[in-house]
Amino acid sequence: MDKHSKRSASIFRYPVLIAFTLFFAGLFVLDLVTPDRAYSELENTTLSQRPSLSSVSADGLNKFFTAYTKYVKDQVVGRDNWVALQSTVETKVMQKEQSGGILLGKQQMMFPRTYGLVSSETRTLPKNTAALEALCQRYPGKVNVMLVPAASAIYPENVPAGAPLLDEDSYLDSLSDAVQAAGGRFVDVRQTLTAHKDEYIYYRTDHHWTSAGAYYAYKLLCDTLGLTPFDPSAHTVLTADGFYGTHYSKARTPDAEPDTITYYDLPNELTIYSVSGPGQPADGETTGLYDTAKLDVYDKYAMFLHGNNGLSRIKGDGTGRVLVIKDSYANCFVPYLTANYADIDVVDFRNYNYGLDKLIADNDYDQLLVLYSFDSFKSDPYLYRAGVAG
Amino acid sequence: MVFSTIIFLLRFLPITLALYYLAPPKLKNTVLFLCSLVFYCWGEVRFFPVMLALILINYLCGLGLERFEQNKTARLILLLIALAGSLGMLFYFKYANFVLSSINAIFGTGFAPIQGISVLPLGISFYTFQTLSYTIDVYRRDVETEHNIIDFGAYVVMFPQLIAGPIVKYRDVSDRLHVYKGRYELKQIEDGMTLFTFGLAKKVLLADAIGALWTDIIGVADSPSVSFVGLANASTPLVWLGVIAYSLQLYFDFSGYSLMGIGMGKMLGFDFPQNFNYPYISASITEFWRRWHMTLSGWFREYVYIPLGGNRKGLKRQIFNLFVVELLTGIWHGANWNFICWGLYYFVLLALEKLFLLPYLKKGRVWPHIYTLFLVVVGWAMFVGNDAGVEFGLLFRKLFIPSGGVMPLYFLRNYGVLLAVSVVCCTPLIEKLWKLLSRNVITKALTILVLLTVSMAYVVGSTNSPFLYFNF
Repeated sequence: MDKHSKRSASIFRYPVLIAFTLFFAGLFVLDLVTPDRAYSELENTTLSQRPSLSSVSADGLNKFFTAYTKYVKDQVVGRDNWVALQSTVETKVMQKEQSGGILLGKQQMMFPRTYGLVSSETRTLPKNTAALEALCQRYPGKVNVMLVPAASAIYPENVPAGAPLLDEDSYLDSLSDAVQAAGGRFVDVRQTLTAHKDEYIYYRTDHHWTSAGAYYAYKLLCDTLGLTPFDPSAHTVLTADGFYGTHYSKARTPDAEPDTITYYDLPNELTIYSVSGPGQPADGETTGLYDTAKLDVYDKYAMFLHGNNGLSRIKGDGTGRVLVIKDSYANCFVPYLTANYADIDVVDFRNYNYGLDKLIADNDYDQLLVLYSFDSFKSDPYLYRAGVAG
Repeated sequence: MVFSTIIFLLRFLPITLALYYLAPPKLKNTVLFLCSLVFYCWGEVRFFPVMLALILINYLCGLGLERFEQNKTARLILLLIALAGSLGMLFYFKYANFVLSSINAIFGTGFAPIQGISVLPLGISFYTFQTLSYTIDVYRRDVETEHNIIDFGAYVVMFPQLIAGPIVKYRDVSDRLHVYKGRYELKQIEDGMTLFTFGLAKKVLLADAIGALWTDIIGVADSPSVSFVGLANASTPLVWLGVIAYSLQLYFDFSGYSLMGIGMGKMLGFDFPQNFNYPYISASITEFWRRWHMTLSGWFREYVYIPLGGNRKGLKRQIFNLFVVELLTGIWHGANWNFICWGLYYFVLLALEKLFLLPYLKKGRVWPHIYTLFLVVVGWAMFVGNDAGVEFGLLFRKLFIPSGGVMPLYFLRNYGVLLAVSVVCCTPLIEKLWKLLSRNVITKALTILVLLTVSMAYVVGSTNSPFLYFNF
C-alpha cells in the first residue's frame, strides 16, 4: 500500500470526527461571516445587535453575558431556515398536528393553541367585562357590542380531533347577557358567520377574519340598526395574494396555503390624529383608507386603516356620526361603514388614553360600536379605559 | 450556560475545543480551567467567589493532610474543615431557606428567608460532591494529594460535568489529568463526538419535545402567556399520559445531558463513568437504582452506605443504612418535602425487595417490568409534585381516583410517533440500530450529520426549555 492510500484509509477510520468537526467548524465560520440583520419580518421583532461590555463589574459582566447570549441566538446563521426545518420534522416525521403553538387543522386552517384562560386573562376578562358594562350604562341605548369568535368556534370540525380548545361559546353567552343587562346591544355574529362558513370568512394562516367575514357581520349590524348596507357590487374589488399571517409565522409549516386579502376601492379620506389631550384634537394627517405599501411587506393585514392608530376619523358618504372602539378585527370592517355615516371615528385603546367621555361629548355620536375579537377581548390590557369615566 | 443552546454550540464549544487542542501540552489544564470558569460564570458572575473558595479550601486541606501525615488529630480537623466547607456551601445555598421556612411552619416562628440565594450557583450539587470525594479519598489515603492548583481547579470546575454530572470522583480522572502529552487519541475523540451527538439528540429531539405533553397539562412556569389544560380539568387517563411523558422527559433530559458531558470528556481526553444504563428496562426497583444516575448512587454507596457498615452488620443495620442513603438521595434532589417523600418511598420499596420480594421478582418475566415501571412513574409523580402548576394532593387524586375531564385522544394523536420513538429509545434496541449503521463509514457519518442538523434546528427553532436538573 502506498503512502497516499494509507493516509486516506486512516482518515476514513474516523468518519464521525470528520463530520462533527466540519459541521461545527463550518457553522461557526458561517455564523461569524454572515452579516447581522436588524429586523426579522417572520418573527415580527427587532433583533439584538452585538453588545459591548460596559464595565468590568459583576453587574456589567452579567448584563454583557445575557446580551451576548441573546445576540448570538437572534443572529444565528440561517435562523429562519432552522425554524422551518424544525417545523418540517415536527409535522412530516413526527406527524404532529401542531407546530409552534398552532394547531394544524383540516382545509389548511390554522388555529391558535388556546387551551384555557392564562392567569393574566383571568384578571383582564372580568375587568374588560366590567368596563364594557360601565360604558353601556353611561350611554344607554347607544352602545353596540360585537365580539367576534375565533375561527375554531365557527369551524369546530376543522380543528384536530379532540383538541381541548377553550369553549368561547359559554363566555360569549354570558357576555351577551351582561351587555344587555347594562343597557347595551349585543350583536351576536355567531349564527351569521356559521351560516356563511362555506365561504372564505376567516384567513387560514392569520388570526383575523377576512373582509367577507367582516361584511356579513356588518350586514347584521345594519339589520339591527335599520341601516341600508354597503353595496359591494357597486364598487371595485381589489385583491392581494400571498398573504402569510401571524399563525403561519408561528407554525412555519412548509405546505401552508397563503391567504388572499380583499378590499374595496373606496375614495374616502382617513385622518389619523396626533392625540395629546382629551377631546377632538386638531392636528391630523389625512390619507386614504388603505396603506397599500403594506401589501409589499410581510404583515399585509396592516394595510387596513393604516394599522392600529389611537384616534382616526373617516369621512363617510352617509349621515350622522359613529364611534368605533376596536381591536384590529375592525380594520377591515370599518370601510363598510362609509356607506352609512358622515363621520366614522375610530379609537384603539392600545394607542389612546385621553378621556373617552370628552371625545363623545364633543362629537355627539349617534351610535357607539365596540368591536373586538373574543380572543383579544379576554386579554386586552387597555380596554379597561372604556370603563373609566371622564 | 446550557449545552443545548446556540451560545454553547456555536461559540463556547468550538472556541474551547480549538484552544484546548492548539494549546501546548503543559497549558492544556490551564485552558480547561479558564474556559470552564467562563462557562461557570456565564449565568451569574457573582457566584465566582463560591467556586474559588471551594477550590481553595479543598486544595489547602489536601496539602495539609499530606503535611500532617502522622498527626491523626490534625488530619481529622482538616477533613472536618473541608467537609464543613463543601457541605456548608451546599447547605447554605440549597437548604437554608427550606429549613428556615420549615421551622417557621412547625414552630410558628418568623425567621426571614435569606435574600439573594433564590438561584443556586450553577451545578453546586455536583461539584460539592466532587470536592468531597477528593478530600475524603486523600484522608483515607486512597489517592495522592494534588499539588498543582490549576490541575485541581480544572478538575473541580471542568465544564462537561459541571452542571449535571456524571459525578466524577477525583481518583477517576487524576491519572489523565497529569498526562499532558498525548492525553487524547483520535479514536477517543471520535467516540466522544458520537456520544455528544446522541446526548444532544436525546435532550432536544426527545426530552424537550415529549416534555411539551406534560406542560400542555400543567403549563410552563416561566411563560405565563402559554395556555394549558390545567391539572384540574384533565381526566385521569390524560394525567397518566402526562406523568408518563414527564418520566420519559426526565430520563432523556438527564441521561442526554450526562451523555453530552461524557462525550465532551472524551473529546478532552477523559473517561468519565457511565451514568445511565437503560433504567426503564429494569425488572426491580433494586435494579432500577443500579441503572439510574449511577454515579450518584455509587457516591452514596462509597461515602455513606459502606462507611456505615453496608450489609456487613446484620439485616437491621443494613435496612437502617438503606434508610439513611435513600433519605439523603431524596434531599439531594431538592430542598422540599416532596423530594424527601420520594426518597423515603424508594427506601420502603428497596427494603421490601430486600426483605422478601426479590426472589419472586427474579422468577417473573413480564410482571416485574410492569411492577417496576408503574412504581417508578408513581415516584416521578411525587418528584414533580411540587412544581409550579402541580398540586401534590390534586395530582395523586387525579391519578388514583378516576375522574373525567379533557381526554387524551388529541394528545395521543399529536405525540403518538414521538411517544413510540421515545419508548424504543429507552431500550438497547437503539444501540443495536447504531451498531448496524456504524458498520458502514457513509451511513455512520450521515447518521451523525442528520442528528446534528435536526438537533440544531430544534435548538434554534424552539424557545429553549431550560434544563430540568438545574435546581438540584
